Amino acid sequence: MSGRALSIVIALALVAITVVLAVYASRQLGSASDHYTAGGRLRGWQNALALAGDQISAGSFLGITGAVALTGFTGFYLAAGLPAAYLLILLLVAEPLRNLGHFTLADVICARFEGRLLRGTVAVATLVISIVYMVIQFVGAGLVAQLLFGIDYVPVVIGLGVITTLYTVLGGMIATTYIQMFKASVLLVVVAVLVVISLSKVGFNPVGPLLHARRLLGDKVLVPAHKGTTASLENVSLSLGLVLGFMGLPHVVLRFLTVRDAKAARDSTRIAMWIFSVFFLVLIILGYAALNEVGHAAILKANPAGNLAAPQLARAVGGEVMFALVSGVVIATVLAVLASLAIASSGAVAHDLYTQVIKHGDVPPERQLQVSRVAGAVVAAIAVVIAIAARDKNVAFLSNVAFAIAASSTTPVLLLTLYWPRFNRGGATAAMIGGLIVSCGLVAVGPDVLGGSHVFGLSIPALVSVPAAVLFALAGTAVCGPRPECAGTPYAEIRRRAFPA
Amino acid sequence: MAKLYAGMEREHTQATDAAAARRIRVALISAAALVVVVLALPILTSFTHVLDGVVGGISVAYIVGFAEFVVAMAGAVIWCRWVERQAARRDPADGRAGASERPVADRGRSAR
Repeated sequence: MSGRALSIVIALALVAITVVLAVYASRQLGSASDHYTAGGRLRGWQNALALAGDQISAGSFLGITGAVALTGFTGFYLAAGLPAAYLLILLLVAEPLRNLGHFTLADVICARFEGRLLRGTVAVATLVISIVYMVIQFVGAGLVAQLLFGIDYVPVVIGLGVITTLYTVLGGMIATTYIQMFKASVLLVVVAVLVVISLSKVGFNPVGPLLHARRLLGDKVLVPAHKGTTASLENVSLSLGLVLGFMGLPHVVLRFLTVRDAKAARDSTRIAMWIFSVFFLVLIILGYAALNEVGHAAILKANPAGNLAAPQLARAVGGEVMFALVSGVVIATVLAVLASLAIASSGAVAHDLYTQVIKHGDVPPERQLQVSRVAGAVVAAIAVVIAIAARDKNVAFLSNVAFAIAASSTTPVLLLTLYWPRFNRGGATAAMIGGLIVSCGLVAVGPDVLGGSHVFGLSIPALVSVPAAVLFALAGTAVCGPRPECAGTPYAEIRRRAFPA
Repeated sequence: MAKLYAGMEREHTQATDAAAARRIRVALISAAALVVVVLALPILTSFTHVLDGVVGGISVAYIVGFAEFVVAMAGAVIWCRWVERQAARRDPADGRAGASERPVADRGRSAR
């Protein structure tokens, strides 16, 4: 059997296992709480594996390995801020989210400020961030399947959309959690095997690939590149978006509503940090191993962004079987992330927009569940259509754009809701709408969309859009301040609920 | 007797509020310091040459970057231990599970 055929068999086998897990999870699904947040029953280690699964995705595995192989230290920026981003989550939002939240991000914010406009805006922000993230996964998986398996792009994207919908409809958050745990475990094992084989080439020295690359190509592969003011500002903007954006990602927020108690929320964050920190450090090693074993020109030729460096390394050091294993696992991992995003976005539509904004909360749980399942299918279909239209676009930048949008809309509103006593509904609404418009607007007039005729010089707008969102929050709070209807639930009460002693 | 209970309740609320305020203060100061540390890496590597050297075959920038990983992971362990110590101090009968640590179902969340 050829490496390509074996890859397809492995990918199909892994997908079949995830479908079985979804069917198994569907038997445990009894209520809306089960569907949205796995009934709030998960243990710390279960949520840790699922949280880690959100981060150790196909995107990070392929993207960071390739970026390090092609650009050296510049690729490291994609990984450097992640452990710190999770420490911020642990310090600032993990426990308050679990204590205040019900089903969605909007529930946490609206625990303090009731209001249909605000809830609707948070739901729209959730949808925008989730759909952007879903499009990246669809496009990435479609291109990888096309390049690795020789399967046409459109059927792959549609097939992934159908399977994602199946997960959401069948098993909700319980299925998503099982699938994330399974996928994280498989990916960790495969990467561990790949790194052991790669290190065997350099005498099992963990930094051997870096030292070898330096011997072959000189210091330039290890030291930071200096490419002018705009590129430097881009690096800072990327790091700012990354470190602040994570705590505003709806599918990450949702993970803290699934745990049984505050200790489980803390434990899951801490354990997940350990898992993906080690994983990302290993990716640096794999990036340099790919540069040494495959070569810069061959990586560039296979894909200009370097996205196939990891499978190429697998083939170079482990032969066709290792290549097949890595390629198959990559496709399966995409599905798990898509399932998380589908749950977050279907909750925003069914629970926030339909139940709370349109029906004023007067919807039976069964009806809400039906709407959620339909919404999951519709959101997946929208993302599939955009992904098909965007097949020839460079979407690698989109994941960082999603972080920047979250850092400029949901994150500031969430943090100010939890920590600023004078914050009010006007400030929350202004920051959410203003941050969303500024961040999306700057991306639309930036170099990734307009190319050479761009109006705004940075691809990732966080450096401008995050301060803008904070200014909107201050202005909205000042304008709305004196009106009693803007105050919401007294801050002292929110603080006691968020940080019960 | 009612006055005594009211006094105890007030005292408990004040102690609870003070504990929450201390925790918020520590969390916000730590978070601010962390953001500064994280942004220092791209600022120093992009705008200056201070991290351009190579030590033992590895660039200084990578060593600082790896150190950030270690700081974040150590910070997570220290924070969790500190919070658990605070919880144990407040609820000595069951140091592992204070009011904030109780299972969700016990706190009426299932009724939502």
